Amino acid sequence: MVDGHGAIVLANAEVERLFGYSRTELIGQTVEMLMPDRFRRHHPALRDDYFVNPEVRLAGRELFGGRKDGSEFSVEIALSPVETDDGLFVLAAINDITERKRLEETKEKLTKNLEESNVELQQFAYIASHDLQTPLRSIAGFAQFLQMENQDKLDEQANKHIERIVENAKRMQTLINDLLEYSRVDSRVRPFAATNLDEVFDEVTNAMIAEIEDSHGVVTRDDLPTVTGDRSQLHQLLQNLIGNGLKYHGDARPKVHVSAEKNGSEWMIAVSDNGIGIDPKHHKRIFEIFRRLHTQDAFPGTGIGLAVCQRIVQRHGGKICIESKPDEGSTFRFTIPTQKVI
Amino acid sequence: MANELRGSRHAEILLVEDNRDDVTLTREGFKQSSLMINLHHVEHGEACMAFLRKEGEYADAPTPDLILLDLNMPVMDGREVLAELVADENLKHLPVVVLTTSTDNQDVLKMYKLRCNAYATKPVDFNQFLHVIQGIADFWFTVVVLPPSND
Repeated sequence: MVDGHGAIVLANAEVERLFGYSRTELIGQTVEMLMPDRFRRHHPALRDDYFVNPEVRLAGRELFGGRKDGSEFSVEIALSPVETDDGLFVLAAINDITERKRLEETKEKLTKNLEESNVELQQFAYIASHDLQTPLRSIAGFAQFLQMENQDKLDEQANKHIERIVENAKRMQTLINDLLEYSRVDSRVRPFAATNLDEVFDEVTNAMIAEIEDSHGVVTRDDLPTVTGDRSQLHQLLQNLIGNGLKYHGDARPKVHVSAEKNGSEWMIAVSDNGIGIDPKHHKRIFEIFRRLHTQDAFPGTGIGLAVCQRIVQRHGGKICIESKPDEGSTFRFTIPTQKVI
Repeated sequence: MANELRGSRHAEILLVEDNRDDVTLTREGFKQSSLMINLHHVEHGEACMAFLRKEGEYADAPTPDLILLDLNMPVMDGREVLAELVADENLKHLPVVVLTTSTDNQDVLKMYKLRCNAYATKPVDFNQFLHVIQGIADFWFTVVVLPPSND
């Protein structure tokens, strides 16, 4: 506490600890002794102004404190005028914000690093898409060109070998594209907006009409909520899950149903199918990138779908899990917080 | 008068492409076309601009009827070429088809914003690639009316 002349009249143990002076050294001295040298000269005028028009001032501005040993540290100071019989005093509450500032700086630095590595990742993804695919086109192209030019000279075996070359080049291209898609979940993002999942469901099932008809499947839904998220990613999420439900089916006609329930502060969306199911011992691994449980002949694919799903759900602050047993169908559940703070 | 190619003369195409294999495959693609085509080739954007402006070794180069432009090239890439083309009063009328590996949405959008006339990607499968080349040749030399030639 400081009087109208700037003299310290009261100081607590915290002030002693922060500034390194004892209370006896402080009392009676002007408050400028607690500041770094460079601020001392101008402060009395500011202090006088304050006393002319005293009002509560909340902490917020970053200021500097000066210790007895001459060192400086960052502080925040709140001021409250105190009217007494002996006149006007000002009570100053001083907060050491060194640690907070250090954390803020660390956070800023980490954010900057993250932004940089995100840009690098996007560049990497672009280079991967272009530079890795160009040689593939040469491999497949020249193999097919060879085949075309030498039709009458090649036997069945040779033609088959060329087909293998082309097939594998195409598969490699698919893998590269899938890897890109996976990397883009986090690197190419749109801001979150209110997204009506009923509409997204309708868009998805319209886009998948050929797949649904080919598999003679039925895709249905309950009423779905409006959630906060990235519409195109939620579209992809539903499409991958519904697509899996249609794809991994046994003899029965595939049925996929999407439902939702509110669970505290989050929505839980479930995509259930009547397909071949997954042994619980594989449940953890199915979300890994390029992880597959079937041969290309049984069910073709690269093993990217669920990895992308998991990444999308994580970006939305939710979790994804599976409940399934062989021959008993599968239910994929994912959560989306009702209020996602970004 | 509009540029009437059918039977009157060869179509002149400028292929701007740094990858030799792609040049060979594209050349083969056009060979299989029934149209009479002269395929000229430069390896990067700077050479492309010199060709179009008939500078240096390209003093006698014809004005192409169509430019096939790759995107990612050394020295000067396809984006820079198109930006410079559309800013040049003498060259901006030349039809440009972007022919690239990139399926990147942002590339597609950017090139259309720069007013390319079409954007096509090169498929890995040679038969599909031939189909693309054939489609480009058919459309540009039998369907559309090209700008009149000054040559």
